[in-house]
Amino acid sequence: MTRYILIKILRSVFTLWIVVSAVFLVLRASGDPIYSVFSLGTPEATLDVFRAKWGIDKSIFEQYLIYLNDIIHGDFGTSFFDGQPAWDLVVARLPKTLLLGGTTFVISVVAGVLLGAFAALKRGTFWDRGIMTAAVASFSMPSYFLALMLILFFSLELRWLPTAGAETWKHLILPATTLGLTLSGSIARFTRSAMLEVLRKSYMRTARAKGAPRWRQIAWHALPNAAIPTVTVIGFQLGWLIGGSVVIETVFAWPGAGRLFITSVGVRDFAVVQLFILMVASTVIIANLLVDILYGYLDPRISVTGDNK
Amino acid sequence: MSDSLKIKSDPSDEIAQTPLLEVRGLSVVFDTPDGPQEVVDQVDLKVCAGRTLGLVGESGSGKSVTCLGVMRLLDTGGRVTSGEVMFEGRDLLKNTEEEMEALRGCKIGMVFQDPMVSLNPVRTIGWQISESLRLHRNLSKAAAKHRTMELLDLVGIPEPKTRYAEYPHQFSGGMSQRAMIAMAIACQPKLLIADEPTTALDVTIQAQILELLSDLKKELDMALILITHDLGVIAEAADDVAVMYAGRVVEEASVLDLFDNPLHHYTLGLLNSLPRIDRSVDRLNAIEGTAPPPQDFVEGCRFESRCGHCSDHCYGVRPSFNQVSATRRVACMHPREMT
Ligand SMILES: Nc1ncnc2c1ncn2[C@@H]1O[C@H](COP(=O)(O)OP(=O)(O)OP(=O)(O)O)[C@@H](O)[C@H]1O
Ligand code: SF4
Ligand SMILES: [Mg+2]
Repeated sequence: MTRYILIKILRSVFTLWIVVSAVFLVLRASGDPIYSVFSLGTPEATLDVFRAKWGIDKSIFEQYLIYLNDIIHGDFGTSFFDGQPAWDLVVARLPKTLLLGGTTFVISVVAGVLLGAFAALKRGTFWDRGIMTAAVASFSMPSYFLALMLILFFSLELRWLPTAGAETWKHLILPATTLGLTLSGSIARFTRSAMLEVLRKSYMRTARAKGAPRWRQIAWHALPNAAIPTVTVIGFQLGWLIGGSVVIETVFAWPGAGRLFITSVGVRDFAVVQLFILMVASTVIIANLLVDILYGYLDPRISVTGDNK
Repeated sequence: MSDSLKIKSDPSDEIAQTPLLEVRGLSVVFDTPDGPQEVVDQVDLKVCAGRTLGLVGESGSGKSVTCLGVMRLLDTGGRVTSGEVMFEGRDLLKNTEEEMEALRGCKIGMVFQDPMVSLNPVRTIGWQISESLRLHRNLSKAAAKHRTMELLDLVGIPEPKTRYAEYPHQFSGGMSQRAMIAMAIACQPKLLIADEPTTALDVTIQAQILELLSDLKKELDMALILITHDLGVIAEAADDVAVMYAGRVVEEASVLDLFDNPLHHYTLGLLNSLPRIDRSVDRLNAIEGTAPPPQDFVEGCRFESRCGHCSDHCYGVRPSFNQVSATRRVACMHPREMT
């Protein structure tokens, strides 16, 4: 068990290192921040002072070593622009991002699982076809397009909901709906197919032969089995959710970390971009770890120690 | 030998008994992409209390579907289109779904062919067995657990305490089937339907499971419907036999009469395909040809293409039952001689 966890942690650290290094290189290969801070024609001397101050006069390799050393010591650098620690900047934006992401995630999982299971139970009926058509439509539509359609209809046409900002709960509705429709659509589809698979199994007939009423067959026999593949898929969707919320925060001017990320990429604010990516990667890794643990808990055939895999 | 055993099949002690389960004219239709198909056609069955009815026939003859129809457990797409299923004086086909739920697992238990896939992989064996008790007996959790341990012991599962908390993947095939049986008999049903309970198991385990079933039958005073395509199993465990062919019952007899003197040509074919000590191996012959699939079912005798005694009478009209004695019937236009 300890060995298993140790391997997991080592592997996670390795993954983080790859991500961090890749971002570091790509950022530096794709443009010099100096031109987003200073206008053209600024005297070289001024630029050199700036370069020296931020350490970007050193060779890439040296910079890289310094950077690695810093993050190991918990120093994530300072923004070129506000001169504030990148950590403070990103963390200040996190609550809004968590609010949007968390709300979306919880509602999507609940709605997706319920609708998917319902469609499976009503297989081939009007309900099944209706739910599945909506699900496929919502997750095959690009989210920014969906966002614009919702804004056009609910904000500009009906004038019910604000288009931008994050002041009230009303501001949350449109971005959360946009993200949630896509997410719950794909969760519903996976849940439905997992459920259909399970409903065909012989042990469901055993439950019926025992005299279990319908609700009990579903709640106690079918759902716990269907949950196993569904949980994996939901875990994978978390990475998608983060990506999607970066786009959606920008479209709806939602003041979260995703929007900060987009602006920071634009101006090559190294420290902020690097920290954001590091956080996303950590979140995804932790989510996968949780899925692993949950998986072992849901499926007795798999022991968490990995012996039985 | 046959004299002393014939006493057992003496018709008089059967006439006295009213059947526990009587199926009359049961037909089952499946909706398939090629349209509706009648896979079970007017089947009659009779099971008396405390006796074992062997239901035998080749694969696809409709044995499972008949029993699922009786239990009203057909998959979606399948429906009973006619008939009566009288159990303790009531027609099960007229019951509501709630009444059936109260009956299943309580008065009638069922065991399936492949125990490894018939148990829920995410629930412990103990949970699954005690579920029957919780559903039909108002037992407290502790009492249900206690009773489940007794059941595990009764079906010959060693170390009930440990086994209670284990999952199906930790059980061998034979042990899983024992657990399935414990589940089906938990509420001491009057009737147990075992659908090829040994087919998926090793030969040595098969014998053990059959023995367990016949022990339990005596101990709990149950009737048993034993589905099989293996006449060896029938010889070992059944009292009465119904032979099915292509969705119909073609012959009914006590087990001794059937083996002594099969009246239907199909039954004879089945018997001839059994290995026997008193016959040289080269005469061990299966019936030539194959049974028709449901889409090729005709109204006349469905065995006609494989039968050497076929005449014009065998086409077009369903061969009606010929009641040979109180316990024997055969559905054939030219049945074999009674000896
Ligand atoms: N769900 C279903 N949908 C359509 N046809 C079915 C279905 N279940 C069974 N059948 C058909 O009904 C017929 C009888 O099947 P059944 O399972 O009762 O045979 P069986 O006698 O139990 O055979 P086996 O020894 O293989 O178990 C077969 O032709 C089969 O194809
Ligand atoms: S009815 Fe005719 S074809 Fe059918 S088994 Fe009897 S003799 Fe053969
Ligand atoms: Mg079968």
